[in-house]
Amino acid sequence: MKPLGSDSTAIAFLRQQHGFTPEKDFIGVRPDTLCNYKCVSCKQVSGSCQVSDEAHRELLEEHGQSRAICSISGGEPLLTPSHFDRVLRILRVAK
Amino acid sequence: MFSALFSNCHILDEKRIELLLEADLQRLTTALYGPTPETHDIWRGKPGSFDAQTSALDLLCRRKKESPGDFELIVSIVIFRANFHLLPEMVDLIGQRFPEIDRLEFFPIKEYEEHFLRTEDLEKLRLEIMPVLRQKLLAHNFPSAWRSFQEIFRGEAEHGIYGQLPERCYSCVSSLYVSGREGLIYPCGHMADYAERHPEEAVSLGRVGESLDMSVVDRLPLPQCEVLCGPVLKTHNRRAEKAVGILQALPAIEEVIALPSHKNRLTTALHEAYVTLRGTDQQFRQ
Repeated sequence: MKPLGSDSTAIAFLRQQHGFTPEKDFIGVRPDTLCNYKCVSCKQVSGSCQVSDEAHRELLEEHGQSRAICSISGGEPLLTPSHFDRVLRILRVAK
Repeated sequence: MFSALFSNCHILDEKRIELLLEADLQRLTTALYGPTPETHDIWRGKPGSFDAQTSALDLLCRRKKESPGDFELIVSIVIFRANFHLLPEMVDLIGQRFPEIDRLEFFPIKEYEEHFLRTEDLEKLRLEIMPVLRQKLLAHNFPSAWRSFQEIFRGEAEHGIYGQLPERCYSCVSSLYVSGREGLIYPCGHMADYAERHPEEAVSLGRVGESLDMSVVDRLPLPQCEVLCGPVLKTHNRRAEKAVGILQALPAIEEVIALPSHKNRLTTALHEAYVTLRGTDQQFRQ
């Protein structure tokens, strides 16, 4: 399946103009901002995740429609094996 | 849902790649800062990062070779003042060593002014680098990457790549961005980034677990949205506004069709869809 692009964003905007609640077609998930690198393009403040797996699941289920993109970033989302496992759990919810 | 992941890939091995794909990961994006260990590692801020990342890309490309349609692999080249002259070498590296990747993207740093390309850099980019880059991108079969590069560095020449956005970005209408560190939900990823630097000025939709205030979106854009969203969203805005115009049946279709751009395929298709559906309003709303 192709992800949605800016044309669908335009459609969402048009729907909003006509009084419809637009569906979310992009849900970004940044579990934390911990990272093993210090890239020149990033000055994020390092911090751990305060959001439970359950809260992530509820958010994705409530707002994520089947054609939406769930985009996981960080920090480095695959920083350690336990971070990797958390990403797997989010992916399985979004599946 | 369509699942995408941004990662520096340092932890990936064959087993972990399979686990990600089994969990239905459909797009993996990783960033490149330089064409050699010496350059990439300096700008990544960690020795060994080039080797770790290219080794992971080798595995990912091998996996794609075995089963090309299983996932999308994207390399995003980060562009800033110290590395723009190395763009042709980076494209060569990717084209020669990782020809299986699906897409090359370009990402000029736009948050930190010390990394912006100066006027003289842009001049050099346009006169010296871009002709070589074009050849290399086409030779390595990345024609769409050349188009997007042109959109970023030539499309809005009158404003410059760090100039103001035309009007507004519509992303917040259809996006959510969950920041786990703060437990806050932002209207877009750029606002979440902005909150890192200006927490008192950024706007959020609310806290995770509480009901969200979607009316915030009606009050956007903030003046800061222009600062946040740089060249990619200039194109995005133009395209979205064009699409909205077409959907509202504004008489601009001739103008759109006249533009010699790949974007017309999208907008023309959208127009055709609109023409098909406009007689059945209920169907359109569904």
